[in-house]
Amino acid sequence: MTTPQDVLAKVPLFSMLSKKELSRLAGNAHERTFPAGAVLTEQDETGVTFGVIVDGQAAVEVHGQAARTLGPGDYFGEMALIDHSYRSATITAETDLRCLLFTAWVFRPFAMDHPETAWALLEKMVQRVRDAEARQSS
Amino acid sequence: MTADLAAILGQTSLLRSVPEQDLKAAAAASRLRSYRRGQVVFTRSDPGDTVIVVVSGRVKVTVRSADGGELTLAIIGPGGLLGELGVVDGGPRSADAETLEACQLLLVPRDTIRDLCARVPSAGQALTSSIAATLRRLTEATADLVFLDLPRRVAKILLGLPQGADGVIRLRLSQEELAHQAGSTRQSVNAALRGFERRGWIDLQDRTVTVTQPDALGRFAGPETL
Repeated sequence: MTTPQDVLAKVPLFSMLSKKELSRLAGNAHERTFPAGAVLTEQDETGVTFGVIVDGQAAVEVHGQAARTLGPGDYFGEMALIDHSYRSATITAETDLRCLLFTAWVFRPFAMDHPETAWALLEKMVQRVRDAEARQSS
Repeated sequence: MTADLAAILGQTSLLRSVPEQDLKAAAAASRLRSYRRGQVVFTRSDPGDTVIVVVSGRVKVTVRSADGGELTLAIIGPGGLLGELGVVDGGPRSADAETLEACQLLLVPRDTIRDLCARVPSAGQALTSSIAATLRRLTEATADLVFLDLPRRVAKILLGLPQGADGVIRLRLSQEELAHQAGSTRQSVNAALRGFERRGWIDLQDRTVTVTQPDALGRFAGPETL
């Protein structure tokens, strides 16, 4: 069975970390398995954790519309990680879903120590902003 | 969301080793609340039936005198806990708690924590360690209040602050708050800071204090602070 560390190693966000750092990061996470059908985040509810999917699939819905599917190596909740505010989407487990969850106080010092991770998060954010702007103008 | 809350609880040093089922049950009994800046979280002598996890923001723990004096005992940031003492002795709040900025706080029933600590040995151990650490810190703070003059207490507080990502110590408090920590007035603290600035040990700009020469400041504060 894939270990959390193996999965983290394949996430582009963490691609520049050493094995030791990946192991530390995996050790600091809160591992949780959600049954199929469980709601991980609900749009407009407050959320403060950031999650990486280890195994399984989840459906992302924005304003009731299916947006995308997340699988192993995908992450969610990075916006609330930064502004501790409302969830931007509803995420539901389609299959049993194994995740690594992080709170901001665990992940933030890590991101500060590894600027390349913070930068990768920024790149993702920028992509989301562009997508949102494109959706608005269409 | 319970998933969030269980993850938050599991990421505190107190409950890190608690089994998932118990975390879920504790999460179900807990409430996540948003607080404005400067909002009272609890008051000394309140019955205090919750343990509070700071999820975001900072909360200051203070005691106040009848004539309006204030002493800050601790500043609790994300991941930190308030109300652990009550788990041990069931007593009322020993101090006041107020937010220093907008906060999200997770309130867990005290009984829930008490039961977990009783059933999960490592959680009980973590509680004891945490209280021991607080006791050590307050012992030193008490000695400083009695034996060190104000400038040295201010120097010690500055040196005790975490370094930023660039290795520089910056104060994230107003001078008024710094005075509460040092057990003095803003004017006296300001005078001490100006003294440090004159000697080139710190930089005073607008509302920030930057320690530029921690070694020199450390030598002034006293041998045990180095």
